[in-house]
Amino acid sequence: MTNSSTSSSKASDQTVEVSPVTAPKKVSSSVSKAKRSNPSAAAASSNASAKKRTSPSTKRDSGSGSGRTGLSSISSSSISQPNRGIALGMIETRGMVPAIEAADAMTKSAEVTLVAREYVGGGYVTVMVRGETGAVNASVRAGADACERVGDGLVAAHIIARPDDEIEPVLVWSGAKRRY
Amino acid sequence: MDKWVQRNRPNRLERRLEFETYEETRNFLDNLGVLSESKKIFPDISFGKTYVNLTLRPESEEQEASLTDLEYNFASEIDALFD
Repeated sequence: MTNSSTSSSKASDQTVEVSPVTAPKKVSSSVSKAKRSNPSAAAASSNASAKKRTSPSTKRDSGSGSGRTGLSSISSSSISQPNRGIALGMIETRGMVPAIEAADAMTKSAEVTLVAREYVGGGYVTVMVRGETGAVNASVRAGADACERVGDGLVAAHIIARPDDEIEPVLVWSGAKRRY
Repeated sequence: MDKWVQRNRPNRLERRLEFETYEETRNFLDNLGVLSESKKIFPDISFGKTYVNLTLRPESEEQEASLTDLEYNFASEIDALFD
């Protein structure tokens, strides 16, 4: 009874269909198997499992995303909207706080689209933006400035003026959930 | 220009610049941004707190495109910014 009410409350917060309580183990194992065999399919299923399991972070993401393009809307914006401009800018930080600061500064400073936020392990976070080359240049500089003053700061920043088409699939947010 | 390294596959010019402080790095990047906007040439830029790596690629998107005077002149102008 408790489990069903818990799952129904979780279901009300979810954007995807959730399975009964016993299913998560199967889903997670299928996700982990899928990750090993088919990374692209795993990305979609891990996204669903991340939403199902991490309702606190979902709520937090919703809060941070209100009013502007926040990290919570990355998946919908990167999937539904085409990239404006082809240049790619990336900033890697040590920790989440400088990453958020960098992403905020980048999107405020120039006409760029935040397309991904990745937890790359070891406490490192990478945020990616796309846009016109001049805009991406300016935004990455602004983002580096901002995160340099916060926490452990900037690890690396990189700008690719004309990324090859072959790497486009890599530049989509994987939906990987936070590593505890 | 002698500080730039020419590489093949694809053809490009690369240079690494080192700075003492992040302030100097940022000032250089700001100046490079202004130069890029004026010349409409945008190198690939990778930077940290005290270094900047620059990669100049040919304007043409063909795989075997050669570097032109445009890229070499721009490289010289970047050298002038740093020196």
